Amino acid sequence: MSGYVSIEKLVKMYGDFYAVDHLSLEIEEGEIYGLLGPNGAGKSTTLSAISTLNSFDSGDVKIAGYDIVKEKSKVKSLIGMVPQEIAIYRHLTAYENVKFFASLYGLRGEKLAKAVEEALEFVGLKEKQKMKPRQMSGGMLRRLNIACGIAHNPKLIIMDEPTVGVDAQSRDHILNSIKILKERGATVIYTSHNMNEVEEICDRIAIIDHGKLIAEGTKQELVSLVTDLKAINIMTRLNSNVEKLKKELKLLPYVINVSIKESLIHLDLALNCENLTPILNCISDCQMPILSIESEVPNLDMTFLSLTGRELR
Amino acid sequence: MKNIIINEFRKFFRNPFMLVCFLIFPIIMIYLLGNLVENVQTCDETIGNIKVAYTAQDVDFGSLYQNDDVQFLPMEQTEGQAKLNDGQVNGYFKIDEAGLTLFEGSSVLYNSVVKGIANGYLLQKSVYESIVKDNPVAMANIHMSEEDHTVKKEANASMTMFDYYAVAMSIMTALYAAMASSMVFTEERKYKTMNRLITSPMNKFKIFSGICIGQIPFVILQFVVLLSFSAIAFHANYAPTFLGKVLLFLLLIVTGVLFSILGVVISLVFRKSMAVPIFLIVWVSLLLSGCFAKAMTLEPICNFLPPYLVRQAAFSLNVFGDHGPAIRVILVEVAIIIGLILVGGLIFSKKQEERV
Repeated sequence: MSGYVSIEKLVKMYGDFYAVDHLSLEIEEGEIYGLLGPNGAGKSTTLSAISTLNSFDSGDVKIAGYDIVKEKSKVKSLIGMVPQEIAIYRHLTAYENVKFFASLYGLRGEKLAKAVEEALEFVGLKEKQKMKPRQMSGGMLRRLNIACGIAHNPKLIIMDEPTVGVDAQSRDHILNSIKILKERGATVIYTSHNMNEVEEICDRIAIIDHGKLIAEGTKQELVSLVTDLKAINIMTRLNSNVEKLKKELKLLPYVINVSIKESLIHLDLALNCENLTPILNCISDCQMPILSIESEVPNLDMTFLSLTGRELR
Repeated sequence: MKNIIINEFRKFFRNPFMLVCFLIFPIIMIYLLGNLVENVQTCDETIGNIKVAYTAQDVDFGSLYQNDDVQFLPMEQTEGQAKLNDGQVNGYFKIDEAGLTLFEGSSVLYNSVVKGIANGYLLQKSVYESIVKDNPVAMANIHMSEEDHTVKKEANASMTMFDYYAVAMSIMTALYAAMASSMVFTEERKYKTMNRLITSPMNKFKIFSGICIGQIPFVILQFVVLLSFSAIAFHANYAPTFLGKVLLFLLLIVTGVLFSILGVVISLVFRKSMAVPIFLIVWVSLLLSGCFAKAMTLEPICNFLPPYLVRQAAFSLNVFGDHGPAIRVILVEVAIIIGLILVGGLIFSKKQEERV
């Protein structure tokens, strides 16, 4: 095992159920590593084990060469947690929150004050440092959540869906911040349901399902695994026959998956589907005009569907 | 650890509900109970003469212990018990080969006096018997002293029901500290900050100790406000001497700290809020300890209830200036506090992620 984070045959069971089933991963120093998988795949359990939040039943986990079981306190000082839920004190201001959590990592005096200022500036909350959480928007709370996890300048940052429920502007700010953290030498483990985010910032991605590693690699490597699917997007004007259309499309051969959102019908098709006529006839029969058709470049959604037979969301 | 203590202190101070409940409400309770109930109950008790009936074959109790305040009336058992039941006598002894059997009346105060007399007699009897057994010749050298060895205690006679409730409500405040602190880890779980504490490299025992110590400043503030306000605004009488006042203050603080830390440990062990069960248990124990109404003291159960033990210690301090019971209670409470911190620290150090 040579990576900055080395996970070898990690097992975590709840009763007879394998939440994590002999999972092995290597994460290199300084990379942003994406962890993808549907709900219940084992992502959070894996993150809990790495962050020392939870014990595990067997396997080896090392961070920067330190064993997570035998050298727990050394490992903890390297890690910064940005949990999915907003984990801050409601009675403290933004400044006080960051200061409190940074102080748990041994920072004191001037070093502590400087670290807090830098963290708040990094997430764009310096002018809002005296605000209390109840006065903040969702995006600001998310950024504060991040500041609390990175103020002590950790070498490994674990981010569990850090952009859930935020507006586009805050989301972009967060993603840019993560790229800067990487430039500063931090290693980031990033989980998300949002394919676009993962594709945008992650150097490498692991796809997990039912506690097992399904595939791992760069986005290009993963997408190249998709050899049996293609996708098309059809623009239309929807009417009240949406559900009927969905049912009829799913009955067609070669149609693997149908999703309809606003005016867009997205279809995942088997690779050997040559004739789109039955599909177009279905749409017309439902009195919906066909405004445009375009084929989609394979992406991680398709990769996941191809590998697991399930949608990610 | 300093930041953890400050964080806990801020939690109380920035919570208006806590400030009202634990600073203002006890003051209101003292005023209401002390003033409104003052004419309904009284803490004054007139003792007067005590009459004790007895049956004793070879003992003339009357000549042994007669004085102006206590009358001993020899009579048969049935007559003695009948007069006791009627309230014509305050106690009845039966002395025979089996020993001394004491029959008590309905008044706690008279019973304690009669019990004291009975204990005095038995002690004297055992001394004589021991001398007779070991060295009978020495009996000839025993002379009855004519000195009066009774000890008169000057009670703080200026105390009123208001003062009774000032102490009782202070004890209530101390016990209800458990309710306030029972939210500590409940809120850590609710706001997900518990996981941040668990994953930090800071020693878990230190974190837990910091949280416990963080309860102390608010407890101290509570009693500074409560006792000062009731003494200045309501003219409540506390202990007669300065040392007594300090000791009473210390007794209440340590009691408050003990129950605060107990509340913290409870919130660590139980995932759901235990504020309501704690409220009910404390309320019932306060009731049975006579903190709401003197007459509701339920013996012998009250002897095992913390509020009663603290109330009795405070009472001894306030009325008689007796420091002993208060010091004993404080020492026991400090030992329990140390035990709770050790146990709680151990539990917290083993804590893993809690998923709601």
